[in-house]
This record gives sequence, structure tokens and C-alpha cells, in this order.
Amino acid sequence: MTIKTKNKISFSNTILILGLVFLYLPMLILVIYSFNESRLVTVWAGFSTKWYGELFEDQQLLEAIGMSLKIAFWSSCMAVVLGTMAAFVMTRYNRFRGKTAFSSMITAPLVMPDVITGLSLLLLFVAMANSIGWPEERGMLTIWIAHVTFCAAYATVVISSRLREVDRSIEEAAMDLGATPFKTFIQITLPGIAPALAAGWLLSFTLSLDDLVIASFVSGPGATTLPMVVFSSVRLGITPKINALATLIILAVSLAAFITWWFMRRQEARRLQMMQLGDDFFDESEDESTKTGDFERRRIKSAYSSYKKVERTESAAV
Amino acid sequence: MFKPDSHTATVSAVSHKEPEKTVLGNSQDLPMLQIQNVTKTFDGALAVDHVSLDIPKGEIFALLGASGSGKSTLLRMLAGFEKPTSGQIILGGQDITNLPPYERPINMMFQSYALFPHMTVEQNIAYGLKQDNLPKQEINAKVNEMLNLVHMTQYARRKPHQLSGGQRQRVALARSLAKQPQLLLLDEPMGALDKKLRTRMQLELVEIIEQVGVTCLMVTHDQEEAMTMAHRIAIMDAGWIVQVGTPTDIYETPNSRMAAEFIGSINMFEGQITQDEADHVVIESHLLNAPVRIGHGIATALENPEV
Repeated sequence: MTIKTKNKISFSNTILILGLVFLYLPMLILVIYSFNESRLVTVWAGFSTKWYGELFEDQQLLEAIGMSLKIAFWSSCMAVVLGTMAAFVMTRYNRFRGKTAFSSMITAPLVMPDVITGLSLLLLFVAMANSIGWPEERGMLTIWIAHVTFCAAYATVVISSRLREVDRSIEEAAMDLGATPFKTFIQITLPGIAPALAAGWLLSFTLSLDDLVIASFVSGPGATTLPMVVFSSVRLGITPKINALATLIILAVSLAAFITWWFMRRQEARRLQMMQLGDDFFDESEDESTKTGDFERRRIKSAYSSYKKVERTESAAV
Repeated sequence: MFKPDSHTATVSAVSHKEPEKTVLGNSQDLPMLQIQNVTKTFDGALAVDHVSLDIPKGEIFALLGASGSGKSTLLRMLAGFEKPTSGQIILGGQDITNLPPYERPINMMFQSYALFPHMTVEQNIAYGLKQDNLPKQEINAKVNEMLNLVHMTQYARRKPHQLSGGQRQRVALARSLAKQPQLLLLDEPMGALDKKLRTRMQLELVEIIEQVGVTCLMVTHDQEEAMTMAHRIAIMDAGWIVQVGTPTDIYETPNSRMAAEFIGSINMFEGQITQDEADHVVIESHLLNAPVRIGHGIATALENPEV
């Protein structure tokens, strides 16, 4: 049977490879063509890294990258703050007028088409500029406000699902020990939902960095984000500079993903180790009988070995 | 129905000390905790129904009842997590009915222990003390004292998830005692432990509580636990207090069918009163061979399980 599987690629492996090709082939081609000598994107004319050099001399493009990162950073920060507040109200206050309306309205921007969001925000900004004179002109500030509005919706969903799982009695214990509700929130609740805050922040960051439609509606002269630059340059014909930029972005993203994976793997290993340590320690304490200790240890050992197995197959796959 | 019962018990407890304390005045004789006519309704459903209780200083008092009997709601009202619909809670002569939980001199040990998962044992115990802005040295001294008290000194730097169930409970107890509360609340103290551990921890817990001398009110559905740990027990059913008394009182002479059924294994006979004399009645039952003679005190309950 082993010989058979060696000679014939199994069905599931075929599907897996096809799927991976479907997902990653376009990116691979893009990376290859970023090293193209030719000015034409579709014609291969030999290896060169000159487009990378030119990329770093293109002030307009670099400024757009800086602008995009700045907007993404600040809008995800603001989105997480607003999202936490909204999620807290939705999960912690049992009854207030219009709770259902509030919670469904919060998630509405998730399903709202970008075009509509962008257009309505543009109309709002224009009307505000006419009536109260603020914002004087559209630019980074208006893009930031627009991004906060839709990122906050995503952040709320992520954070509220975590907040719902947090053990209420821990918060009650803190208040019982003399902490005011605000102190309880800062010292007890926030550390508990920190992973969700990070997830919400990262999601908002990606969404904001990615957004083209809403940004083009609400931006003004002097504020151009990266997607806007890329999109407008595509209409004039792509230069391989964009390929080079995309390659760098792919590199950054995969590096970030790899580092997260590595840290999580280390943490998982440490957790298992700790469990084993804790197990030994239970054996020593008189609370647990040796029988249950043995059982526990066997359970953890088997969990650990299966974990090791997964790890080995993973490394083999790489 | 229960009020005179609790009253007599309190009065008798105080009257022992009366001779020495007459000079000190009335406030010394007041019970530590007075629950007066407390009622709680949730959306019209009655959870706690006009409950009144007096608990003297230093007593371990158990609220015993099945789930849904209102005992947990009563406990949460004492801690301040729920507001009574009507009635008053008075602790040490001060009305605390409308105080928020963080201003009450009451601490609670939660059923799930509710230890802060991101803090070490030490930090958990110190948390309440830090809220009072005490100087660091004082906090450290107090924390060490508490760790000693519950024999957890060598685990001070561990996180809660590195501890066994019994150890977690000790940390939770140390944390709730650290602020020297006037009243300690225990919510199903053995609820999260396995059976073997329970008996040992029950005795240990009582020992520590008596050593500290704190007034203690616990909630449990386990009659054995209430019997071993408490000085007095109140049996609750459907928001009512059915009976209050010492464990022996309740066991020997339950005042109703409910109390009798709840407290242990019983034999119950139904019968008719055939003779009603000044000091006893005679009850005849077709399940028993001979008619039973019962004194009047017990006969008021109309049931006598232990005969």
C-alpha cells in the first residue's frame, strides 16, 4: 500500500496542489516579472533589479505608501477604541432602549457596498463644509474618518464575540475587592480581551490599507493613498515598478505571518511543557491521588506526542 | 413563621454575654448582619420573598436550598451585585442596601473562584489591598500573612492555571480575607472540587475562618456540607426561608415536609390524630402497627420523620 501511494498521487493531494496553484500562481508570476528587464510587463527580456531601484526613487509612490500606512495605523487605533466601547455596551448592558436596533445598525457597514458608503460620506462632508465650514477641504482627515466608520464595525464584531466569552464573575470579583467599574475594565477586562483587540486592530489595518473605493470618494487634492496610485497607474499601463512594490508587500506580509506562526508555536510548546510540569507538581501535592495523576500524565503525553507528530509532518511538508 | 425562631437564637446567643456588656450600650448587642424584609423580583417573578435574618458576629451561617430557591440571589444582594426590590440590609449598624459592591466591607469567595488569570497568586491576593492605596510594605506583609494562613507560601509566584483545584480555592479564600471584611460570603465553596477533596477542605476552611474570626455566610445545596461547616442553617425554598436553626435542631425536628425531605434520608408516615391531649397527641397510621405518641412541639409540624 505504501508503494502504491508513492507511485500515485492521491486524490486529496491533487486537490491540495490545484488549490495552492490557483491561489499562489498569480503572485508567483508577479514576483518573477518584477525582476524583468523590459519596460513592458508582459514581455520577458532578462533578469534585472533595476525596477526596485526606481521604485525607491519614485517620490509620489513613496509618499502614497507613507500616507496609506499612516491612515491605516490611526484608523485602526480609533476603530479599536470605538469598537471596544460599542462591544462593551452591547454585551454588558442587558436592557436599554433600542438595543436590537443599535446592534444591527453597528453591523450594517459590513454588508453596505463601499460605493454607497463612500458616496454618502462624500455628500456628508460636502454638506458639512457648506454649512459649518468644517472640514475645509477633503484629504487625509476625511479618509481617516471614513475608514474609522467601516473599520469600527469589523472591530466591534471581533471584540464583542470575545467579550461575550469573558467570565463575568472575574469582573465581579474585582469590584467586590474594591475596584470601581472603570478600574475593573482597565485592569481586569482589557487584559482578558487583549487578543481580540489585536485581531480587531490587524483586521482594521488590512481593510484600511486595502480600501480604494471609499478613499477615492472622500479624498481631495494632496491626499493619495497607495491603492489610488496603483489603480491610476494601471490605467496608464502598468510599470514593472508596481510589480516590484507588490513583491515587497508580499515579502512583508509573509514575513509577518511567519513570525506570528513561529511565536505561536513556541508559546504552544511552552504551554504543553507547563502542563507537564504542572502535572508532575500535582503528583507531589497530596490533593491528587496517584491514579488520577497517572491518567493525567498519560493524557498529556499522548496530546504532546500527537502534537509533535503534526509538527514533524509540517516540517516534512515544507 | 421563621422570624421568632431566628430571634430567639440571636437573643440567647447575646444573652450569654449580657452581664459583662451592659455598660457598653446597645450597639454592641446588635447582630453583625441584619436582613430585613428583603424582596427581589425579576421581571415580575419572585426570587426572594420577604426574607429576614439576623446573624451575630463570628457565626458561620449557611443558606441551604435547591437551585432556584433564591439563595444565590440573596447572596448576590449582600455582595451588592443585585439591588433588592424592597427591604433593607444592615451591616454592623450601617445601612448598606444602596452601596455599590466596591464600597461594601464585604468580600466574597466565588464558586468558580474567579481568580484573575493574568496575575500571580501574590498579585491576586494583593489586588484588594491595592485598591485601598495602602503602602507597599503593608501590602507585602499582609499578603505574606495570608499566604501563610492558607499554606500557599511556596506557590506565591504561580499563575492560577498552574494550581490544582484545592490550591485555587485556598488562594480565593486568602484573597477574600485579605481586606479583613466584616462579612465573608462563600458561594458554593466546594462546588468546583471533587468529592474526595471536599471533606478535607470543609474542615480546613472552617478552621481558617474560625481562626480569623470573621462572620461568614455561605450558600450551598449540599446538606452534608452545611451540617459540617455551619453553626446555624437556614433552609430556603421558592424564595422563602422554611426553617432556621442549628444543624442538630433541623435534623432532629424539621418543621415541615420540605425541610425534612431536604435534610436527609427519612421515613415518613401519614396518619390521623386520634387523641389530642394537653401535652401530646396520638397519631394512628395504617402503615404502623402501634399508634404514635408525640409531644406538642413536634406535632405542630404534623410530621415526624425520625420515629
